[in-house]
Amino acid sequence: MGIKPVTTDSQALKVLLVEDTASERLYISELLHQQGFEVHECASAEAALDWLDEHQVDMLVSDWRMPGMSGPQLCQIVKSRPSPPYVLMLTANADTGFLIQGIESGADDYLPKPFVPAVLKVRLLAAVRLIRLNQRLARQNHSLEQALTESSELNQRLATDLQQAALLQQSLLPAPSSDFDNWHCVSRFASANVLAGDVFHVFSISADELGFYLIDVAGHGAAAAMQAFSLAMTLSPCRCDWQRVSPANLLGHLNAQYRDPSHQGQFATALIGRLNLKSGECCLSSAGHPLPLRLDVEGCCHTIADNQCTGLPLGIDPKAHYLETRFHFSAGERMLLFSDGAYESQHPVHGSFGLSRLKQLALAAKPLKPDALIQHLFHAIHLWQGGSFQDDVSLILLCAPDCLTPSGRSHEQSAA
Amino acid sequence: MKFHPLPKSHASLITLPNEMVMAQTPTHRAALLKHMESGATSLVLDLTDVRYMDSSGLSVLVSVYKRSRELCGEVVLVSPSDGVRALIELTRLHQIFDIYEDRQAAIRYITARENPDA
Repeated sequence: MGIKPVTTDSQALKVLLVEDTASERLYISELLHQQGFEVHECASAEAALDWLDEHQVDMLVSDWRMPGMSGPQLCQIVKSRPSPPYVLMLTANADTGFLIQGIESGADDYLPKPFVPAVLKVRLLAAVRLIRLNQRLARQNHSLEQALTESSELNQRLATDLQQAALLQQSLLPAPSSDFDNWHCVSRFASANVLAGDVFHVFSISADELGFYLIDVAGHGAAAAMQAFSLAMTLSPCRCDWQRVSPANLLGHLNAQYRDPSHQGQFATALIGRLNLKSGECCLSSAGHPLPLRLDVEGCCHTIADNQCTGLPLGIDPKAHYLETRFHFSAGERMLLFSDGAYESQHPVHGSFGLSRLKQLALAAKPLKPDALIQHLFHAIHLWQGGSFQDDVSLILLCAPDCLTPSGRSHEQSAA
Repeated sequence: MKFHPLPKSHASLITLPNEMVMAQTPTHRAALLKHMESGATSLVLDLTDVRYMDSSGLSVLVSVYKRSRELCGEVVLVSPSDGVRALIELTRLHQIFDIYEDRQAAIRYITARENPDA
């Protein structure tokens, strides 16, 4: 009854046999062949090292005592190289000291000579199990590394994509500070993620008129950003006739165009306004958006009666109807537009920032110039959130000139 | 979030958790919509415990509102805190949700609506 070969896998394992005695070498080599190994033989440790410079093996079977370099010395060098083979040390000495020295030199197993072939066979069997396990682990490791590289490349690509989308999105925003006639407009914006659900714009619609909008899509991230971008595109002065269509009708149009394909309950609040630069007359309409604060030169805060001009947010009822309100800026008056991120923020100890705090801050900072005022508010909100924005924050401050033209006043009367 | 199906109706009383904010929005939305798919066409949402809600939390309410409309059901809210009520009113969502201060009254309304002949 022969012993069944230990390596039955399709790919034979490669063994390097190092043995100075020719007869021993022949005998062991034959045993290894019988077990299904592909065997290469060397008569000395030096020859084995030379050969290993050019070749890879799965296992090294080496004699202990050889002229020149010994088995343990060979083992030490081989094990110090990258991805070393399994090492089985053979010796004529069964002394425990040799066993310890052999294993310490890095050998994986140790077999005293003379041995019966069956013992060598089971030792080889154990070796093959380990080698195969190592091979499997190495393969798994490799594929994991590959998957990791692929997913980090994908992440990198997505991050780049998002950055580019964010740049495009930011290009929709007005300059932080701009002048229209004698009017001054400053704005600040910060997004909680790379992409924002807030978008706003202030722009000339004719020589005498200014249009502005502020949209806040619920939530933030890519989906909210896409929605905000698409709403901003719908409102673009190239696509909408801002001179003829009223803010309330623009909101109605925007609401009718609103899509929520994934039924996520996504909705948006929006504020649309038109301002006459000569007369200071302003027409406003809101879709569930907080109304702006009006800060006059006396240091009073005027509230706009919201039941007159605030309708449902966009995306809830396609038939929603929007109303508008009209008022006149007084000379030097400032109007602060903001998204809910400006006051909804939570402080771990002090709680909610709140609308009234925003109002108080804006009033207390009244003597500041517009740029300083908006920076002051922005900084306060930022501090409240502990230095990182929880939601997108948009702030726009529209400042009337110190005197509005008398023709504007007569316009007001005719409008009234 | 706790679900209590109301007897003899396709309606449920649902107690909403302490916080309805961005981080938990997907979980809350999925749980509520799943409950509706399993037969509850109308909901009484008890907001007594909700201390804090942001606009993303509101979008969960909007989701269930839209779904209940499709199912010919209704969603009513019960005793929101002052802060939550202010948020709902600021965004004009009180136009689509009836708000009750008394839970039993809300339950009576919804079950009567579900069983007009009872």
